[in-house]
Amino acid sequence: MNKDREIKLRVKQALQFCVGAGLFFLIMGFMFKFARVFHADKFFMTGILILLTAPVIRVITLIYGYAKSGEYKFSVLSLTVLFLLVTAFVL
Amino acid sequence: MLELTFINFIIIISFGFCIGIMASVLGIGGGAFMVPFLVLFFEIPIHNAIAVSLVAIVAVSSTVASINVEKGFANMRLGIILEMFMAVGAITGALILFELDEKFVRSVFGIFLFPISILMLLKIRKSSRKRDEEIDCSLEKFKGSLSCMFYDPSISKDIKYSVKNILPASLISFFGGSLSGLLGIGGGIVQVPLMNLVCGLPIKAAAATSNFMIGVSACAGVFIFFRRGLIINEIAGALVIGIVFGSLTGVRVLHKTKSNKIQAVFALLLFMTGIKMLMG
Repeated sequence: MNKDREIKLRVKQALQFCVGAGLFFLIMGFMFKFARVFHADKFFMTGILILLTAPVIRVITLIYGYAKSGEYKFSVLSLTVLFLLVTAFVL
Repeated sequence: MLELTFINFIIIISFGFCIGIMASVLGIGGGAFMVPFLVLFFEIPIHNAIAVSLVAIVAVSSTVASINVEKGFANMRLGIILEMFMAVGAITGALILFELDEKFVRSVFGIFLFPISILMLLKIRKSSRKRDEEIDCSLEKFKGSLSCMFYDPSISKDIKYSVKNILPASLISFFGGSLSGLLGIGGGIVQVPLMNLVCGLPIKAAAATSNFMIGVSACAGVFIFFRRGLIINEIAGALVIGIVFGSLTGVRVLHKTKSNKIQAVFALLLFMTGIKMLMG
């Protein structure tokens, strides 16, 4: 049960980090855009890319978490999901 | 193409905020609303609108899942199984998007939604009668790695449930995922009723698990659009900001709202979406 809680906590932290960091870059981008300080497109791109990594990092966290807790079935299933995400990126 | 003025920025953020609340409560991505909004209101080409919508769905899913997972609402193990099929479907859907007649897919989708909405409405009565039995289920019934339990603050009780019919649910998840890639929706509109009616999850667990899963299917779809340069960064960014704050607000609503109300709103939403899809 504790291991399960630890996995949930890690997933929460990973998702919150990605959403928070992505949001930071997006908000900065709009501040620069409307203040006309400099070209903000790189901020938007970075923010969106960080955000898009959130599900990938979540899946990686689950692979590690379930492997560590001995639930290899779910670890392998998560690995399959990761493989599918990588395939989607390559296609 | 839309020029993102400050007024447009505020409109998109406000819209995103509303979608974020609704999506987090109902377990959907909100793409069924975002795509028509971007196409009809801002005259954005549909492929770009779908790409932007998928980015926003990743934002909804990640934000809501970060809260629901820790609170125990989302069934992660079931989510992992079903999201695998959804991801395959999303990749397939995104790849055939340019090949299929969109009207045909929309019609199939629309027709598919009517029986689900009616079944959900019928189940509201049934579930209210079964409520006590579900809460007091014995430990013999409560077994298997997919079984789960969560605390429902709206009725101040622990809810235990077992998961059934994984195989048919997986196949339908593939269909839900393909709609995600094809139409720019999260797939929650299929996944929530599926998990509620087929797998036997309580509606709150179904909504939370759906939110957990749709990020992966949307991500699988959006990578394909990303590689083709179809994401409009500024619009996606504005939508994401609104949606993240809306989702954070919506999650608090989910925890306090009674399940039957969510189910009724969802059934109505499905019915309306079905009509909209058939009308094209």
